Amino acid sequence: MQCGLLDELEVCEHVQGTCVGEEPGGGGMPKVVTTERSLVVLEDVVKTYRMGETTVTALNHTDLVLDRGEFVVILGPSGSGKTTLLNLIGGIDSPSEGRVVVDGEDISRYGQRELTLFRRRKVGFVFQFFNLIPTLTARENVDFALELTRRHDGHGKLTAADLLAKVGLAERLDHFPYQLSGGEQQRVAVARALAKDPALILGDEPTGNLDFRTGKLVLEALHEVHVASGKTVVIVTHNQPLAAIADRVLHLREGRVSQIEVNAHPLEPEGIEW
Amino acid sequence: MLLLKTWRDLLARKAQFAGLLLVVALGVSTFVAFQTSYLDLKASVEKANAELEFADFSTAVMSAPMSELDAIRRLRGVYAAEGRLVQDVSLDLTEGAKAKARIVGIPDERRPRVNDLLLESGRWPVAGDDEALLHVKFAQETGARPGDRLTLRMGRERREVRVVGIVASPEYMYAVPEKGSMPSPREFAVLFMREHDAGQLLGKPGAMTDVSVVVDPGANVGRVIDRVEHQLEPYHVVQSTRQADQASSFMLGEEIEQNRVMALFLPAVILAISSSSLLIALSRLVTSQRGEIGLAKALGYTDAQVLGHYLLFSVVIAVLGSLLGFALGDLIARGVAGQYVSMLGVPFLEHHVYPEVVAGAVGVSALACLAAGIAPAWRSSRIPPARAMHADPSAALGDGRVPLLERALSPVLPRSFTFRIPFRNVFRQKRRSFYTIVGISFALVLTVATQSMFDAVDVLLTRLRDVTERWDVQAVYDEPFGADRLAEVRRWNGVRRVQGALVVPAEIRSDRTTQQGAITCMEPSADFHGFEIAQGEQPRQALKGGGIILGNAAADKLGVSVGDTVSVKTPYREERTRLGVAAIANETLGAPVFASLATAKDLTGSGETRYNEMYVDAEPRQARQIKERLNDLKGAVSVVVKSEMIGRFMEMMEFTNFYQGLLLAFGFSMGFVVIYNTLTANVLERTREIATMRTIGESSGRLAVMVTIENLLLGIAAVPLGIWLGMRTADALYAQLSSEAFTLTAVIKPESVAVIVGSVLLVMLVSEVPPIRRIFRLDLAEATKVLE
Repeated sequence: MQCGLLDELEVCEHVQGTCVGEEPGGGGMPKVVTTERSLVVLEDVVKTYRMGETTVTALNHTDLVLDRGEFVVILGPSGSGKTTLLNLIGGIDSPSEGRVVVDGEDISRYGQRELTLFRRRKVGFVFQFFNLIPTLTARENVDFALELTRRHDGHGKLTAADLLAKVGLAERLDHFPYQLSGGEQQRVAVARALAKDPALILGDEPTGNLDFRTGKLVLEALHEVHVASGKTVVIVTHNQPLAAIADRVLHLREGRVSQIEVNAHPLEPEGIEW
Repeated sequence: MLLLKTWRDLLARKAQFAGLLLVVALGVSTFVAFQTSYLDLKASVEKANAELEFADFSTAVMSAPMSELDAIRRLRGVYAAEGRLVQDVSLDLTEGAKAKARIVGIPDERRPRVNDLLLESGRWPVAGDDEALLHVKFAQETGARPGDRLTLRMGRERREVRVVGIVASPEYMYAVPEKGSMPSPREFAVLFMREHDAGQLLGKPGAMTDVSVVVDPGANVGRVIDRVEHQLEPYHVVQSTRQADQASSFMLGEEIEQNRVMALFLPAVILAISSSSLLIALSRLVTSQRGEIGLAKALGYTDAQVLGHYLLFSVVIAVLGSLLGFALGDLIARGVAGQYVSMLGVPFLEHHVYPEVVAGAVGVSALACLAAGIAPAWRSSRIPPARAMHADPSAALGDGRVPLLERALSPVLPRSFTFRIPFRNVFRQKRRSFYTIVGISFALVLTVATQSMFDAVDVLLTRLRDVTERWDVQAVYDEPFGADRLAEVRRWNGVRRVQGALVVPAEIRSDRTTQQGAITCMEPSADFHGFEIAQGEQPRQALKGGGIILGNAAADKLGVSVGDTVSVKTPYREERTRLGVAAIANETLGAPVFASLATAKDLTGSGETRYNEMYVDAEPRQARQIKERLNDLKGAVSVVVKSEMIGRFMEMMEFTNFYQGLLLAFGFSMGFVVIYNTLTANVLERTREIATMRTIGESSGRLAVMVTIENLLLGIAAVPLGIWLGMRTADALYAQLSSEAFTLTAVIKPESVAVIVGSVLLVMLVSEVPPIRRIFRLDLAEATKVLE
């Protein structure tokens, strides 16, 4: 079923390259329709920033629902609000207005401490610049995240070696970040994100700093995680071809979701080119 | 355009820039404050000496007729001369206490032409009316004013004199009766009386016991002394004392010399600290701006322009730092010099802006800043543009390794990342860790060196009280007495033991030099003075064998060691006596010389054993009563209870304490700024890393613990180094400061170390707070994306 929103929004379904639109919801209908599968819900979210004398609206009354197990790519020009959207979903930032609900938790009014705990339990991040801790080996970087989770809830089934093996780095466990290529580092970052067994994996330009070949390796890792464990993966990117591997593609413009594309048959990462 | 960039870079790093500016300004202000107050003190003393015609030398005689003065004034090289009576008597204070009063004659009808007086209040005395001028130091201590009457005792006779004026004198800026004794302004009054009245009072009308001379400009003082001594030969010359050896002048000279050393030494240490702090900051700036350097060079800026750009940071800091430092330093110097001059009783205060200090301040700060800036600036100009612009994100956070130490200690090191990450961070960027350790240890140097001065004085006092001075009451008499008086005192209630000594004024000559002073003669078995023999025989054997024991300062000055001989001249014999050096003892105060009472007979030519000092062991509760009774004995000049002596010493240290307190404040401020700058930079340099850990769910508390552990590890490495460097600095300083008057050894007490370590840790913890708070308030999304 088509989930979501839907006020003045063009929703398209890609069927063999065709975008099929749907009528926006009319008066009386709720703006956001959620189901049991809904993992992320944004309701009428506004995010404004003060920049000197002026106020910038990064997100302007945005509504959105993301389902469990979805692979979502967010596209949009610079300044369209895609990173802000990711930050709000990931609990790095809080909305100025509206609600952000993730996995049943309304995080909109959380303080720093609650947001930290939320990120620790529910979100795995993959950054553009990998951001591994340089003094720790690949195994230790993943262990660091595991230690966080174990400290919190005693969860201890996964090992760093297992997770690194999942992303194809079984042979590079004891290498330090400076001894790994960019692609390998990003795969360690994916393993670190998985370590906490999060409900949601967020990637902010995860291939933005990689060449085509290594970027694809990272996408493969993320895709495999998504397929194997059914994790919800949300990627923000400028890179249009990445949209082909997503279940849904959200286009942002001027702080609002301007278009949603649904891929009926998303491609495997090896199938894309950029 | 690069100028604009410099300006913007400075604005962008305002806090860091302000910190560096403060460090340099503190360095410069110390230089200015110490140099200026030293020069002000010197100028004030020189002005007092010149205005009041301080004698170039004085010759003491047993007694000569005043008529000899005309002949002396006609001698070649004599510019002006005054003859006068100088004699110590006893002065009754309230509640049975006594003080030493020195009667000094002044001409009947005019002001003295040599050793003139500055009338601070009241009027000049009239001859024939038993009027006196009282020296300002005693007046300040006791509250005596013009119009007060003082009771003098000469043996059994009592005489009253009326104080008509309060004066300052170049001879008594330090209220010390003789060289080597401690200033005791409350127990040493100097009374200037008209010659007629002084002669009547002391029973020596028309006589003089002292001739003070100002020599012609350019005249050879030694030759003039010989001529004066020759002229006075028939009247038994006791000794001639040059201005530099005059008791007060000697102590002032020591004080000025200490100031000179401190004014050079400490600013040098502080500027070295400033310079190293700047070096650290500029190195970091260059490292953080590699990309910009590459871009500038790619755009066509030359190596020299890039070098100039980064040197400009040093120049700006040097210029602003010297301006700020000069203003602050001059303000401090003004206060310190005023305080100093008033505490020392120098009658004139000179405060100037010295061109050499201005030039020095600008010069040294420029030198320190350029020395710090040249290496990073040079490094910046050598960076190839392509390499500088290539920002490899995987390399951006630096290398990681398991340090050898971690491998070795792995069985005992905690496994948690809370400990492991900080531990590795210490070894991860060795240069940063090195700079941090150096920064913290340099920050400690001044604090440790200054604190060790307090401790050294404390140890010295403890040593005086518990080791060296083994008596409860000491009495000094101006008339020698026999063993019967010792026996009499021994019978007094509360007296446990009495030991006698004879202090003989003496001129001790070695191959190298001559020392004016006194020899304390005692029984070989006497133990009122505790010796710490550094070289030679034990005291008993040394004295029994007829040799002398020299204090280390005396031995150093004379340039003699055990086995050498010196020749001794006393006022009581024409011939010189040759004595062998049997031992050298470590003495903390003065340059004492000891001999046996048997040797005293040779020195004085007297066949019987006489004493002029008494050392009494007393029941503590009765010490004060015993003091009063000793004061009542004929010829009592000064009687002191040991605790009072220690008190006097502490009073003498009052200004030194103030000075050291100032230094400690400087040291601590400097340390705080340096540690703050260093740690702030350390934390901020890792913004991205810390932000990443926060983003993935690490709590702020645990991150703060990690930063704290890392800083503590660096602090643990830095503190011992800082203490060691501080102690070496103190050693070097004491080597310069130690003199005939006192010998200090660098010591630091465990409790001081504990306080210093505690303070450093506290400063480190406080310094962490602002950068950590800043990082915790960062936009995590931005911080995790930024390339450092």
